[in-house]
Parts: sequence; C-alpha cells; structure tokens
Amino acid sequence: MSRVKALSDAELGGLTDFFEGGSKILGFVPNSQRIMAHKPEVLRSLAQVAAAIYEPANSLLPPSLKTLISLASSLAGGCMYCVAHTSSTSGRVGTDEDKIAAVWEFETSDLFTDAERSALRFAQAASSVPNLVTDADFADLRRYYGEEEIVEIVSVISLFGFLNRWNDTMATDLEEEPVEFAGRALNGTDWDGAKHGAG
Amino acid sequence: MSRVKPLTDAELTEYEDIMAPSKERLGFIPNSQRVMARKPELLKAFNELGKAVNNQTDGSIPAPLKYMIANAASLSAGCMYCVAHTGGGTARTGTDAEKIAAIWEFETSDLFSESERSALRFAQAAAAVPNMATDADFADLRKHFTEYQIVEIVAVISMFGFLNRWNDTMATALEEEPIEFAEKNLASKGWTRGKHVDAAE
Repeated sequence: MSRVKALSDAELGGLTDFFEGGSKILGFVPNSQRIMAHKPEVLRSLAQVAAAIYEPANSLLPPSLKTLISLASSLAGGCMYCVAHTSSTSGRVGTDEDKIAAVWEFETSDLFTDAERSALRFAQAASSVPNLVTDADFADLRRYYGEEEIVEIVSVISLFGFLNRWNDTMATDLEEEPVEFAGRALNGTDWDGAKHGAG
Repeated sequence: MSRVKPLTDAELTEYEDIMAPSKERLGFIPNSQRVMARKPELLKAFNELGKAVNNQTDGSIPAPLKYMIANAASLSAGCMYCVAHTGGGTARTGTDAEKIAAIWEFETSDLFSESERSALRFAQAAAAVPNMATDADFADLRKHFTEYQIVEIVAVISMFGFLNRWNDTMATALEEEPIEFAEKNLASKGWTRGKHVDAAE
C-alpha cells in the first residue's frame, strides 16, 4: 500500500486541471500524482517539466525512443512502478510488446538498432548509483545523436531520477492498466510489482 | 569538464529572466543551469519545480532542513557537484559549516536533533539504488513529521533524484564558490571534486 495516501477524486477537487495532460494520455490519474497532490505546486510544476521534455514541439527524438529510455532508466533505478508505467506507455506509443520485454536484454537482442542500443546503455549507466556514465559513453552517443538530442536523452533520464525516487520511496500502488500490461507483456522478465500492490 | 558545453553569458542573454532567481540567490549562474539552458523550456519549468519544492508554507519543515536533506541525498547518490552546492545552500540558510560537515556522520554527531536524524537517515535510504526506504523508516518519520511534511521531504529527495542524475551524468564543472565551501569544510570528510573539473584545469 502506498506509504502516503493517494487522494481520491473528491479530495483532488479543484486540482483536476493539473492532471489534464496526464489523464488525457493515460486515461486515468496515476497514484503517483494523487500522492503528489498533497503539495499541489510540486505536482503542477513537475507537470510543466514533463511537458518541456515530452511535448512534440519540444522534442527532437521519437516518443518511442524516449519511452524506451525511461524504461531502461527505471529498470536500472529499480523502480517497478515506473517500469510498469513506462512499459505500458511504450505500448501506447506503438512499440511492439516483444521489443518492450527485450529491453531486459537490449545488448544482445536483434530488435534494437545500434543507435537505440547506445541510448539504452547510456540510460542504464546514468541511472546507476554510483553513476557509471563515462566519456566513452558520450563519445558513443555522439556517433548517433546531436548535442541537443543528447540533452533530451539526459532530460528523460533525469526526470525519471525524480520519479524513480518518488515512487519507490512512496511504494506507490500500481493502477489496473499498467498492472495488466506488465502482467502480460513482461511475463518472461523478472518484473515484480509486489511492493506496489500488484501480485 | 562538463560533457555538454555550458552556455556562456553572451549565449544566455535571451534567457536572463529565467536565470535571474538563481543569479540572485547564488550570486552566479551555476553550470548545471548553463547546460540545461540548451533546452530553455526545461530550464524554465525546472526552476518552477525548484520554487515549488522550496515553497515554505505554515506547515512546512524548516528551510535549513530541506537543504540538509538535499545534501544527505546527494551524498548517498554520490554526486559531488550536488554535495558542494547543497552544502553551500545550507550555509546560506544560516546553518553552521560545522553542522553541514557533520552530515557525513549524522548518526553519531550530537549536532542533530532526533527529528533531523530521522529525516537524514530517510534521505540516505531513499537516494540509494536499490531504494532502501522501509515501512519502519516511514514509521520513524511519522514520530516527528506530519503527512504533509513527509511529502515535502520526499519531494526534496526526488528533486535531487533529477539533479544527481543530471549533474553526475553531465560531469558538470563546479564553480568557484561551491568549490571554496566544499574544500574548506567538507574535504576533511572525504569530499573531492572528482569528475566536476573545468576544461582549463
């Protein structure tokens, strides 16, 4: 059970505006945001940070690559709530379920391009503690991505630095949709939602 | 050397309004923001997040404690850029340098209250990978803090989840003022600049 209470629809009251972007994409208000609503200005500004990274007008990289990066990052950060969410979001932006499950073995899977593999390797290193990113990782990224695209990649990884800590500290309860998706698509992986009320 | 080039003052002229709050607070524009300015919409939104997390309301934990939590989280995650900055930030809230240095040994130092120790222990656990925060840590926090204050504590730790990854990935070069603070007060505890050096050095 979430360690801080997720606010109900009634308790959210006037706060629903902040969720508009998120609930439009997801179709529901995630519990991570229902908890953050205890301090609404944090929720509102974090939504702005997410928009700055994900709005098409602010993006150079395809949404499918960004969601895969957020998945690899959450996996290295060890947050199974975020892993379920970024997996189902990857599905929603059109990535095949086989490829989503193959993020667990991106180094050897033939479903990824070299450019994708470089970004996922970087995400994994940057989300470790201690941080494992090297100058060589940057040099490899530069073979495939421009400087502004690299900034975008680090932005996604850093946003999930916030979300991995938030949700794994709060033990945020997973909602029906990501549980269903992870239960099906991640069945062959070691994904485990127990801390987040799933299974 | 920062792995992505920080923008110079000349390159930043059109973002002066976004930079104004940190320039006023710190007396200089930190390299983390000069790098983030490559994506100005992110910098603008992130500064709003910083204001929101630091926003002091009637029920808030004290501002110095927010900075000490940020410092303990950054230390746990190993980002020495953030450790130097949050150390200097804590000092600006009126905390003695001796106490800031004692965060490296908060469990045994008598400079901390039980409630501060509970919050710092929690920050250390929540910033570890894998996350080490337990139900028992929450129970201990609840002895000292309200639900709202616990949300504030996790918000600080999480904002530094962003910044620890950002600055330790970018190897952001440290600026003069935080270097001076950290070398004077934290070097004896084990702080080093590590990767956060300038190209010219």
